[in-house]
Order: sequence, then structure tokens, then C-alpha cells
Amino acid sequence: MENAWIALSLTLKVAGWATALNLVFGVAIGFVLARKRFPGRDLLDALLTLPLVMPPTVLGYYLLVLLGRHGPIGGWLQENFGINLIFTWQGAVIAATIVAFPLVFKSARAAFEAVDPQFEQAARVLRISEVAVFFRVTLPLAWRGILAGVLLAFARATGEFGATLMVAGSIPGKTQTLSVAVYEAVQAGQDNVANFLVLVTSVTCITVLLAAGRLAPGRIAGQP
Amino acid sequence: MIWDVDVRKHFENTKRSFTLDVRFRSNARRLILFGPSGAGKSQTLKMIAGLSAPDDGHVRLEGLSLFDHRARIDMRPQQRALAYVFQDYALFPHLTVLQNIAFALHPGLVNPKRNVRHDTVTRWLEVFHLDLVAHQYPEQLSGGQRQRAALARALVAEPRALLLDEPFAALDRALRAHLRQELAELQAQLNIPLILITHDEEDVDSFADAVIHIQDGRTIEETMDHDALAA
Repeated sequence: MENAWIALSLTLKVAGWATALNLVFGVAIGFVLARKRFPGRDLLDALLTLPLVMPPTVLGYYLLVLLGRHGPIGGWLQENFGINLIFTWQGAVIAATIVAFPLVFKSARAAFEAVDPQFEQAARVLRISEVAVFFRVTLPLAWRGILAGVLLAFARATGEFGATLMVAGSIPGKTQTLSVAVYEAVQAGQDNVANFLVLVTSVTCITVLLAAGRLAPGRIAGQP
Repeated sequence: MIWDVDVRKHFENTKRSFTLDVRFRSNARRLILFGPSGAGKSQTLKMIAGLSAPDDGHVRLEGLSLFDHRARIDMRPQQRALAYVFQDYALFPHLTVLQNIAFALHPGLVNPKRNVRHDTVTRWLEVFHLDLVAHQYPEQLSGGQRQRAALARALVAEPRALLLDEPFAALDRALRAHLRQELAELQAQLNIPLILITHDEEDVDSFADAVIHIQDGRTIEETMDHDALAA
């Protein structure tokens, strides 16, 4: 049972980091795709949406090839910094980040596209810098839609299984997240452990969804 | 010369192609761009404000080049220091009236706080009778209050000139006459040049020192009130 709490805290750590990374990259890329016109925009959008439709095991395999000791990125990291990502919790973060990424960037793009550019123009005429226009007008007006995507991404990252198992493996206390631990417990015939883990996972997911429902409906950022 | 505007821009999409070619020079303090909707009035005003870039030409205000294609001058809207009041006012929906009006006084990355205090803002709230709704959000205001809030927000930044896009179109008739007079008095007090675009004859009759007629993207006629120019 104690392992279950370790697995839960590891899961929350991995999902938390994955969500934070997606918040930065997903919002930035969602903004660029919503507001800039450039050749290859549709192709880029399609490529970035791939993790949503590809089997997680396939993604995990790609990551393994790229990040492995002999892979182009993994080899470079190993050689220059002595960093190895395979079978580490940081590797699990990368897997969960990529799997959940489309949820953030898709909703961020849609949320930015729904912001009337006239508000941004009004801010420019009031002599506010372009960066300030983004943080004071565009982002607050798009925030609700982004937040919905971010919470979904957190839930998705919490439940990530396939890509995580491929990249990070299943080392108890180190890389074994809840969803992986459930699989291991069932395989080992430990029904009690499995039951407990499933209960913890379910409660966690319901909590996240309730939080999402509480934060999302009918409110504009900054309004009571 | 207050205004020296000569802008050309070609627009094209799948449905239609449209060429804007607007030229006027005027010394009128209260200038009206008059024409039917779709004539290119708003586009012209956006080019003056720097919100849309002409393909060619120039925009000068009291001798200062805001845009000059040949000299490669294209000041950003932030540098032009012109106030722009949008047709539907574009008040920031996530900020209170007070925060909207104080917006330009905070140049940083953070919006003014809800309980922010500035003497200038307080003065404008009083001038426009907005003190009682200062802490409300734009969606809670009446049409007239919105228009006044947008005007106050624009004027707090102490602009070189005031650009108004159909400022009375969203209001009912009785209110329109009242606000027209209010704006006229305000303009006389502030004494900054003003361009107003409209398709309403009444705005022209009661307001203009000079009128530029725009149709199908072109300046077709100019009428002047010479008494006003002499003043």
C-alpha cells in the first residue's frame, strides 16, 4: 500500500511538470498559429496534432529512438552533459508532455482565434507595448479556453500509460506511475493492490474534473 | 495643414477586389468622412491610426509624417499617439470602467488594479457622469455610458488627435443628439483635431467644419465650411 502513495506522488509530479511545460509551449505555439500567417502553417498544425491520434506506444517508440543512448538527441545529451533520459522520471515527463500537448495547443489556438483582434488594436492605440497587449488583453480574454485545455492535459498526463512505459519503464519508486503500477499489480495477481490503486486513480481523476468544472464555467478572468 | 492624407491600398479576396484611393488635405478641426457603409471610411481611419498599412502614399498630421511610403516611415500605432474610438467601442470586457479608463496610464505588463486611483481618471469619470458605474463591467453599461467610457479611455492618453468611427451609430436618436452636442463642446474645450466617420446626414449638419465624401474607396467631393476655417 505504501508503494501506492509513492506511485501517486510520482504520477502527480510527472503530470504537474508535463502540464507546466505544455502551458508554456502549448500557449506560445497556439498563439503563433492563431495570429501569424506563414507557409506550412496547416502542415505544422497537423504534425503537432499527431500525438492525439497516434497510438502512445508508437510515440513511445519514436521517443526511444530519438532519446536513446544512440539516438540523435539522446546521444548528444549523453556526450555533452552526461544526461540520460531513458528509464528516468524526466523521461516520463517528456512522454506525458508530448502525449498531452495537442490538448493544450488546440484549445489555446481556438481560444486565441476567438479573441476579437479589435481589442488588441484598441490596446495598441493606447500606447501599450506589443508584449503588454498580449499579457493584458489577449491572454486574459483567451484564458478560459486555455485553462480548460490545460486541465484536460493534466488529466491525460495523469493517466498516461503506453508512451511512459516505453520510455521510462516500470521501476517501482522511480518511474512506476499509477497507471503502470495497476498493470503490474494485475499481472502479478495482486488483486488487493490493484483495487487500491484503481480507487486512488479514480478519486484523483474525479478531483481534477471537478476542479475543471469549478474553474471553467461562465467566468471571464478577473471577474468575480 | 492639419491633415494631409493620401493613401492607396488594394484588397483582394475570393469574393471581390477593392481598391482604396483616398486623398484629402484639410485644415478643419472637425472633419467628417462621409459615405455609405463599405465605402472604405473605416479602412481609411485605420490607416491614419496605423492599424492597417497602406500600399502607397502618406499620412501627415500638422506637418508630422505618420506614414510615408517613399520615405519608409511607418510609425507604429503606439507612437502615433492618436485616440481611436471604435464603432462598438471595444471596451475591454475583462476590466471595469475604471480599469478601462486608467488603461493607458499603466505602461507595464500588468493591468491597473480594480481600486486604482488617478486624478485624471477621477476627473474624466466626473466629466462623463461615470462615477457611479466606475466599478462595473462594460457589459453592464448602457449604450451612452459605453460611448462615454470609450471616449474617456481614449482621452486619458492625451492624444494628438481624436479619430471616431461611427460613434453615434449604436445609440438611439434622442441620445445621439445629446451626445453629439456633448462631443462638440468637448472638442472645443480640448481643441485637438478630430476626424469622425459617419453615414448619417445629421452628424454632418450639426458637427462638421468640413466634409470629405468617400464612395467606392475614392474621395469624390469635398465641401468646406469656410467660416470655420477662418476662425
